[in-house]
Amino acid sequence: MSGWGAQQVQLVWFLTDVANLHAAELFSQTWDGPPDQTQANRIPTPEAPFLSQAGSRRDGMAMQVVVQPGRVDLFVSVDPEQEPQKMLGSLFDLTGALAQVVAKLKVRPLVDRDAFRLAAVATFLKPVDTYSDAVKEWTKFSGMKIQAPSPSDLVFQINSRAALSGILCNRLINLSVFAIQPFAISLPPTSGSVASAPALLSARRHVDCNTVPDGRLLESDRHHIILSSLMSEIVRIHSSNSIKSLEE
Amino acid sequence: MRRSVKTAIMADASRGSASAEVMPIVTLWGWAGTNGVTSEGDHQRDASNSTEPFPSVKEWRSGRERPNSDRSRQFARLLETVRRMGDFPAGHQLHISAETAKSCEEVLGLLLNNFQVAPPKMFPQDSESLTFTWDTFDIKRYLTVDGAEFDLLELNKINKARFERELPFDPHGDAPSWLLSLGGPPSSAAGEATKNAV
Repeated sequence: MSGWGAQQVQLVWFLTDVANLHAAELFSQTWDGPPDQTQANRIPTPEAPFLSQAGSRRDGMAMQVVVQPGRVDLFVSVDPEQEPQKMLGSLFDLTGALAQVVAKLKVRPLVDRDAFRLAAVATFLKPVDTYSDAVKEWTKFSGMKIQAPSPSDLVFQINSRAALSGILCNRLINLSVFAIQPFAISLPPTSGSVASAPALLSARRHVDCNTVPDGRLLESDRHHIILSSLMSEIVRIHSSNSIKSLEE
Repeated sequence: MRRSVKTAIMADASRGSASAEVMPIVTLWGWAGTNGVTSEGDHQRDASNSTEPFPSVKEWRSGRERPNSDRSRQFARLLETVRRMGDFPAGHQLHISAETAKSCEEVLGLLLNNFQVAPPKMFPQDSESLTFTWDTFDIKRYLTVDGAEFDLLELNKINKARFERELPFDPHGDAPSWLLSLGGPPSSAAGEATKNAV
C-alpha cells in the first residue's frame, strides 16, 4: 500500500511457566547466531521487569527477544537508535521481515511448552506532511468524516472478535498520529537556546490480533499455525485500508 | 500440608480489613499500593469502595495498556517482592518456600498479562505461604498459596459470612474456572512487553 510500512511487529507467547527459558537461546534459535546484547535479572524489578532480554541491530533493523514472568515476546522493528528521518525511511514490509521467523517456527516451536494465549501485533506508519493529512488517512480507513477545524489528539480504537483457525481471537485496531520532535542541542551550550526542527508526523495504525483467553492451553506444535493465522489477519486488515475488513 | 487461612483471617475479620498485615511489605520495599490503585489522570480510588464488578480501574479497560502503567509497575513490584521473599532464610518472618514463590509468580503472571484484574495486596502467612487479597464490592477475597496448593476465602465485610474452599491448579494443564473468574474480564490487547517500566 502506498506510503505505508511496518515500524514494528511483535509475536507473543503467554505462558504459565517461563522457567529455563533464556532470551539469548531463543534469539539464537530464531536468527541463527548469538545476539549482540544480552541482559538477565534473577529478580525483576519495576525498573527492569524482564527476566532476560537479548537483541541485535543490523541494517537499520532491531531484533529482540524478551522473557518476563508470564510471557515471551519476539520483536522485529525499525532500529529506534537511528536519526528520525532515517528511521522513517527504514519502514519495512511485514511479510518479508517475518519470513525467516515463520520458517523457523514451522521447523521447531520457539517454546517447548503449551501457551495460555498467543498474539501477533504490528504497528504501521505512513509519513505525512501535516496533521490534516494524517486525519485524511484516518477518514479513509474509518469511513467517518471529521468536520471540526484544526483537529488534534486524534485517537480511535475498536476491537472485534472473530474465529481464526477455530479459535476466538481479538482484533484490536488503534489509529492515531505519531510524531517525532527533533531537537538539536549544541555541546558545549553556547547561547543557551535549543534549536528544534518541525515535528515529523506519520499516520499510525496499530493492529493487535490475539487469542481470547478461555483457560484452555494451546499446544506448542500448533503455535506456528495459530501465529500465522494471526499474522495473515493483520496483513488482510491493513491491506484492505478499511474498517469494513472487520465485518469478515 | 494445606494451611488453613481461617486463623489469620479471623483476627482480621473483626477489624474488617487485613491492611495491618500488609504494612511490613509496604514499609520494606516502599510499595506504592496503599488503600487503592492510582489510575492515570484520575485521583486515587479506594478499591474497597469500588462499584466495579471486578477490582479494576478505567485505564485497564481501554484495551491497550502502556508498558509503564501504574498497574504493570505494581504487578512488577509484586513479582519482585515474591522473589525476594523466597530468598529469605527459613525462620525469617517474610520467608516463603521456593515452591510457594514459583506458584505465586505463575498466578501473578497469568493475571497480569491476560486479564484486567487489579494488582492484589499480599502478606505472608504461616512462614511458608503467601496470601493475596482483593476487594470486590462488599466481598473481600483471600487467595492463599502454599506450595502448589491454593485456598480461597471469601468474606462478606457487612455480615461477616465466610466461604472457604480448596482450589485445584495445575500450571501444565488448562486454567481452572476459579482462576478465570478471579481474573475478571480478559484482556483484549497483547500489550507491550514491559521492557523498562521507568
